[in-house]
Amino acid sequence: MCTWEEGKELQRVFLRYYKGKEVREDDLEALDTLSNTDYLEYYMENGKLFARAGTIGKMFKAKPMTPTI
Amino acid sequence: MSMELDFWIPNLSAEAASISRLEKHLENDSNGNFRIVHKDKKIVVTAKKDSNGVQSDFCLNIEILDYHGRCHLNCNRNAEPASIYIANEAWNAFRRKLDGCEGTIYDCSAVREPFNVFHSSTGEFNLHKNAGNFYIDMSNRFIQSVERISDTMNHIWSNGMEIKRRRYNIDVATRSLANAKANKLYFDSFLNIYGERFPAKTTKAKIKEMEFRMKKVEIAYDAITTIRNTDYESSMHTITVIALLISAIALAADAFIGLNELFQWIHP
Repeated sequence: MCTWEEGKELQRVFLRYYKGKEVREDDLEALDTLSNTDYLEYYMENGKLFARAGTIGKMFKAKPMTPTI
Repeated sequence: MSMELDFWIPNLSAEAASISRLEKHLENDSNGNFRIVHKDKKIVVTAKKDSNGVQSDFCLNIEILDYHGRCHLNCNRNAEPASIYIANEAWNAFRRKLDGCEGTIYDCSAVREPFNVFHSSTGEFNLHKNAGNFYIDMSNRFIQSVERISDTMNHIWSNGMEIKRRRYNIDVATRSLANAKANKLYFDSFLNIYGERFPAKTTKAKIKEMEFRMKKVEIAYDAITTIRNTDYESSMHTITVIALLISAIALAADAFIGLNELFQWIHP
């Protein structure tokens, strides 16, 4: 089960790679989770590994909601 | 460090890797980024030249261990992100030949990326290996996949991110639920095929674990779709009130005009 901190990490990584970005090894654990669930997807460009919003991820806006409280 | 592990081709008929199927589906393949060569029970997936980011010396060997779909994967590349991605792609190119669920709404995402669990907290690569019992490892992978679906849905959707358009809410929830149900389906099939290889208590425990995970996904799904329905009902309520107001104004106006005409008739 994802802890609160791990959940925040998922959100951070999702936002970071939403528009497409070269993969950093530090982010791989969260990227695995997000790619396995179609929120993000991996792709290759010039021999380097990138990630971007996947089929489900594209339905979200690339910015978090503003707090309502 | 090369990449190597036992894995499973998802199937419901328990004959995913029978000789007749292998011969029928793996012949004369020339599409996509990979070339798949099949001889006896050995399958070699190699990259074609000039594919994006895939060098031609890449090779994934797949040895069929039983006709139920258990196979041994062995890749000639070192475990680094780009190579792991290519190995996963090569596996999926092979899987597409034998597996009817790949790329569909009932896709079994637990077996999409054999080498995706590869990063340890120490920062070193820690490939998913069949450290203990293959059957238990594989069933854990299914359970972990369903867990990931509920976690991602909850943390991304519920707390942090905004959906682009309201109508997508239900799409996100429905797709995630379908993905979880598909993984549960193939988990059940895996236990149906290999159940005898598990210790009896372990099988029951794994089934229970999966049930709990599915309930978690269903809770998230119900919550998200309920919010969506509440939004819809609220919108419909507003529209109804506006429509009633317009009707009331129209009736009042009509009555006023009618009275005015009557008054003019009485006192011309």
